[in-house]
Amino acid sequence: MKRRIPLTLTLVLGIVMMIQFFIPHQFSQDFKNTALEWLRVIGGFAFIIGLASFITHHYTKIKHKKEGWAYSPIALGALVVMAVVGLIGRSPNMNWIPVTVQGQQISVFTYLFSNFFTHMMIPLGATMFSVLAFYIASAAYRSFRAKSLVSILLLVAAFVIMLAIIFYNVLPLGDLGEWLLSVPNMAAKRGILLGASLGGIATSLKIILGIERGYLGGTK
Amino acid sequence: MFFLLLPFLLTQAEVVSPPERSYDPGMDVAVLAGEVDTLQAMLTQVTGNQVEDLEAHMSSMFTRVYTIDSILKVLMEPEELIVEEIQPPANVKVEDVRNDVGNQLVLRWNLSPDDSLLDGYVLYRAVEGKQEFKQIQVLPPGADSTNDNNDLLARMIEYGRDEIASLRRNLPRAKRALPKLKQDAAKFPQADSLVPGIKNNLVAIILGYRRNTVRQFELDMETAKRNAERVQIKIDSLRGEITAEQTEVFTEHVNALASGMVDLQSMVQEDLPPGAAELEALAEETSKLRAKIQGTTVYRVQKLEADLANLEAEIASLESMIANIAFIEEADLEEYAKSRTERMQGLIEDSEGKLLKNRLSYRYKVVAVRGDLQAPSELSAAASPSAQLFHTQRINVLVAMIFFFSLVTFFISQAKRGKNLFLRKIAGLEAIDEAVGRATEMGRPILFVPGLSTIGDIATIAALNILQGIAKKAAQYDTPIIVPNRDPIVYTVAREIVKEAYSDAGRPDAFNPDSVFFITTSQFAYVAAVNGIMLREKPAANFFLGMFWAESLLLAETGNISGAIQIAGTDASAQLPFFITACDYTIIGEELYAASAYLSREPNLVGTIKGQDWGKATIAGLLIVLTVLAMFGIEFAVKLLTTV
Amino acid sequence: MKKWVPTVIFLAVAVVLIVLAIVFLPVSKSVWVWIAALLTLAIFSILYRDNPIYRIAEHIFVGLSLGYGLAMIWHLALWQIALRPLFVEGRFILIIPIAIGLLYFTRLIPKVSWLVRIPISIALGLGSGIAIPLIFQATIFEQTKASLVLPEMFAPGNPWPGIWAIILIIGIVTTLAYFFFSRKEKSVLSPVSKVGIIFIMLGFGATFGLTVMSRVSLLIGRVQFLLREWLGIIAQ
Repeated sequence: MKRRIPLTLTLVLGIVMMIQFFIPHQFSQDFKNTALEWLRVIGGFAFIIGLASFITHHYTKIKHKKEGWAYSPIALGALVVMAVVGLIGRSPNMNWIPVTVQGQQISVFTYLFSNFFTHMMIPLGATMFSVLAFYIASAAYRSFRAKSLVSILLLVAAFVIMLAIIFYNVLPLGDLGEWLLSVPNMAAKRGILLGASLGGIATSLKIILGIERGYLGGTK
Repeated sequence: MFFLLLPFLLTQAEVVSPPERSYDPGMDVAVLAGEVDTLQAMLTQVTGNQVEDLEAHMSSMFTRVYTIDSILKVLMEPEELIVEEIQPPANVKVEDVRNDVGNQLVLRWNLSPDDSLLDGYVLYRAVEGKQEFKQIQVLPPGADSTNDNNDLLARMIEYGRDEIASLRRNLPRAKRALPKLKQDAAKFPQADSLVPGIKNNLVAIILGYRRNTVRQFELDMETAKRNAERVQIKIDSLRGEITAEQTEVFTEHVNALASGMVDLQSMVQEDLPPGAAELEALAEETSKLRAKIQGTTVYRVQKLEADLANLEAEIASLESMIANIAFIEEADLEEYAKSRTERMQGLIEDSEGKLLKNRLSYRYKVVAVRGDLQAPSELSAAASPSAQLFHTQRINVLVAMIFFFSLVTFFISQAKRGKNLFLRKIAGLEAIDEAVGRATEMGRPILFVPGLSTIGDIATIAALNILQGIAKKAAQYDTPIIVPNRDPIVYTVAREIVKEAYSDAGRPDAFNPDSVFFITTSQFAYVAAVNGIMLREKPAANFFLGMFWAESLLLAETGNISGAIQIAGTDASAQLPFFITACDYTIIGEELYAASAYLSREPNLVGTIKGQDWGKATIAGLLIVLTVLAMFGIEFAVKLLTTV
Repeated sequence: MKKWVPTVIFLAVAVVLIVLAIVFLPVSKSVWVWIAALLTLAIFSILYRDNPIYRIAEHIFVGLSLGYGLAMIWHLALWQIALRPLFVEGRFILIIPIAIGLLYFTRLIPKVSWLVRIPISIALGLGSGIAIPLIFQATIFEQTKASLVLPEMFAPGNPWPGIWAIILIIGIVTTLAYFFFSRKEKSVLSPVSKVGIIFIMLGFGATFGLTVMSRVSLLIGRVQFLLREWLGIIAQ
């Protein structure tokens, strides 16, 4: 039963949704819309599980004084502060403890929430993202030492594109760059996409038919 | 040469936009001034073979002058065209729209011969057998087809319901807030009586449930006052620049812009032979034009004065709003809410009466309208909307699905019958054992990142399938495995998989529940944490399998720095180049989906792979065959692949 | 050298720089800009090596983002589309998806923890069922159609679009051949797939080159923030 119920659900819902695609009638559209809405509702609850895992993970760290346990209170603290500020501050018509910012009266929770977001989360994310510029340089450097023929091809194509962009009005590489992007790049992308689509369809089919059941977690 | 042309191309783009009612010659004049500047700059560097280009520019500029001229003409004296009779549109045809949910008809008709004179067309509809025609749509001249459906009506009904609901919700709140608002308003000088025009506005604002109405008005007023001050300063400074001469030039310009431009225009009409002398003459003309244009400071002052007047009016109206709050009573709120609710109820009923219904039959007429003149078309034949149970334009998808499913089923049965199906070597998957082995030798952990997507992404499922095998080996060798997750559901599944792998390996006690954990749903926060793990725990083997976005290189390069052996796999083709440069082995695209078959060799799975191979062969074959057909002009080739 | 020495040196240098900046530069007076700038530097410090400053920033980031996620999930999903329609608007049918969603919590109760498979299998069943026809339609059919060579690509005087389109098809077919899993070492497909890998690598190189340029502009953006908003060295 522990396996049969989930597998049956997947089988039935999968087949129903495949048939739904071919029925333009209203009842079929309504069914799909309801299904998608419910899916969003269901998905919302999964987040709590993640939250529980996060809290347990850090709590155990602190409890057993594992390496780096001293940082866990920081993470937990940031979580609690942001959650409280966000849960209250994002409510509509929120007006608790008003402060005046640029002539507007807003709740201190809303104020903190928006500032935590724009002056902490955004710069943190943007900086993490921009570290890529350094990494991409070191990755490019490594491919300089390319050994095989195929990796030399990759390197040459990359350099043609970079030069074409940097010296777009100096070097006559624009057309070659354009060609690399619209012919070999497009061909590779489409080839991979077509293959991966078939792989995706086959995997979906295996899931619906219950052949692929790794997602149930293990084999029992 | 192209770059020289650029400024012209840019300004030419504006000519295309149709003149609006609030046409502002001042704007065009400013643009013209810029053009003249460019032109003059160019004239100084004319060389022989540029003359032709320049002439083309000149003539394009004159086209523009002509446009401005004609617009000005229309503005100054609109043509009175007296029309006594108009012809109706003809041949109205109605059809059901196929492959839809129903409640939709498509109409086509021939335009009225007088189309260019019309204000537009009005569409009427009646249920078959009934005389009562309802107005459905109003369309602009030139429209010769339309869809009649319930989209707009449904939105109207929804809007009406929303408004009624919000009135019901806000009325008690607004009543409660009213005394406080009156108190706030009392700080301002009171008006003598309620200004009738303002009352409804004000009641609507309060009922829109703004508890801080007075404060909001005050803030708006402050802003308006600040802006007014700025405008005043600007006006003062501009006035300092204006001379009597400029005023004169400006007046002359506005009045005689048209005539001045006609002069230029006539010059174009005289066939100019190419030559420097003529160009210089043109340049002289343009510089005259420029002198006129420079007079526009006066024009700017006039505009700013109008702005200032508007701002002052706004401040006055805000003040009277505040003052009038004192006169608003609870009864006003109630009355307004009641009348508004009734109106919305009316709107809803009216819209519901107009809804198209499946299986009912409808007739249409299209009426051409100009002012009071109306010319109705003949009645259309009756048609009724219907919903379809099968989408006829998706048959090709159905056929493809059935074909592919049969392929897969066939090869699965082949594989089950014990036929040995060969699979080629996939280096990335072969290397998994090596990587796990190395981690064991070095006594360091294995890191497994199951992508950053949800369980709904098939790449994630493929990654979790591989995790099964890796976790089992890790359990056998007693090598710790770390699985950080970004998606909570993926976390749940990954945890079960690892846990069961340990019990399968016969050592359920060795499973560390803290080794599979959830970090956060934010992309870069997750990456920051995983990078931290890589640098601190120094895993000997990193697996990045599943769906990745921009973070691919952040992860792979950090892993590279920490010296781990790395195996990555994804079907995100934009990320593959980064994995290829930074990882030891990369599983590309479809290879990821082949993994579960490759590792387990289970006949069901291997059979599916074989089916996929034949699927690819079919696509490649179709590409070639259909291209050949298309080259022979057989349109069927393209149609075969068209779906809706 | 003791483990904490580099950290202390880093902190000391940072303090000196900050003091110098406050004294000599038109630095920002906004606390928030300071916070943003310090966090930016903390993340950049990973380029040197893992260090306590980075770890603090990392843990703040993770905690904040999770708190943010919780607030958003509550306001935009749980409350907006589940609880409010149920309790305020009285759409009792929503009890069903909410009950299914609550099954996720059975993960925490070992005896009935298998029930967590129900919401997962529902999500997968729906997802797979929707995906299969949609992939056929939107990917396989559309991409194949877009790759066909058509007579109008061979305009008189300019046959190049047609020629490139033929090469494109060759590229796609050979790439597909590379992914042929049942191909044997010495089959006809082997040389064909070698051509495929040439296309794949040229394509990947092009993507790589294109991305490098956009990533560099991201870095420039962060440096501009530090120099402009924070230190005020370059004009706003």
